[in-house]
Amino acid sequence: MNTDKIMTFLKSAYGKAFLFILGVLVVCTPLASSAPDGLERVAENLGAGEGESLFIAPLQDYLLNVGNEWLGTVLAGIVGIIIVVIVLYGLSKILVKK
Amino acid sequence: MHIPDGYLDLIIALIMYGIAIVFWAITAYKARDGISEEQVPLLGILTAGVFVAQMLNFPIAAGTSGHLLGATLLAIVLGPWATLICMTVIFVVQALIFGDGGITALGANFFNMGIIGAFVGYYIYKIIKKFIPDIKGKMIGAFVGGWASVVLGAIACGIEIGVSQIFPYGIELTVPAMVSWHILIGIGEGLITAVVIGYIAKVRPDLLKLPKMGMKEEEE
Repeated sequence: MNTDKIMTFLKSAYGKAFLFILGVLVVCTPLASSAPDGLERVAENLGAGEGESLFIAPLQDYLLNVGNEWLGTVLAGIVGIIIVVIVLYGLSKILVKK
Repeated sequence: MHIPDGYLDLIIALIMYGIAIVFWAITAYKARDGISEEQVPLLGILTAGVFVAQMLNFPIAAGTSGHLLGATLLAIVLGPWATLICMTVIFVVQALIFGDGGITALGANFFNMGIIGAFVGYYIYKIIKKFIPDIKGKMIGAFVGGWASVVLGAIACGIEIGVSQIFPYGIELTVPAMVSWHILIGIGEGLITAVVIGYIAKVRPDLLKLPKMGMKEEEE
């Protein structure tokens, strides 16, 4: 993908949606609640322990260790977006009807 | 609502994987006609959006939060079968890369937060849209479908951990507790789903009329 293609994409409706999603990630990350979610709340109130992960994920808790939580979370989110989009792009090669 | 490793008995985890595999197999079958090329960027954008939304918890009450599940939202635009592809990618990436949701609980999480929303949420939306016209019907349908998908997912989750011996409490405690929180969390799901669908219906109504993978052609 060359720069022209990227620029064309960013100017399209999908490109704007993509930039909007990035904006939401950057702006909402520090505003997001770090309180336990519904299931974690139930487990905590009942007195059940936290689940034990079978392995340590590379970006556990959506955090890339760069010393700043906001930046670390935003970068982890971008990594996630890139992986999700690449996997879906690969799948679409199989899915698109010729 | 992501179940971590260590909350489900092996047999429950396997049963939920079994259900997931059945749906994956049907999805593969439904995918034989494929999707149109124009839908590829839509698929990518919506999945990226749901992935990000799942990272961003909104506060509910009493020090508790929730986040969008997004399966109903995806299903309204892409149809339930394509939604299962998107949600599978999200849950696998979350479990393997971000440690969100146990690898043993992937089948259960896919059922609770993917399959239920993709089908129940979608059909609730379709039924309501039939009776209430225009954007209003779409938004109400999206709200109710999204809300119901979260509450039903919470019931399923409560049953799965409740019947598991490894989780020290039974369904008489887990199901009511899960439902009570997710009645509230579901409102967030419903609002976000309704606003996004309302926006799409207003600015790009054509996107809601695209053919949906594996679904018979139907009138909008």
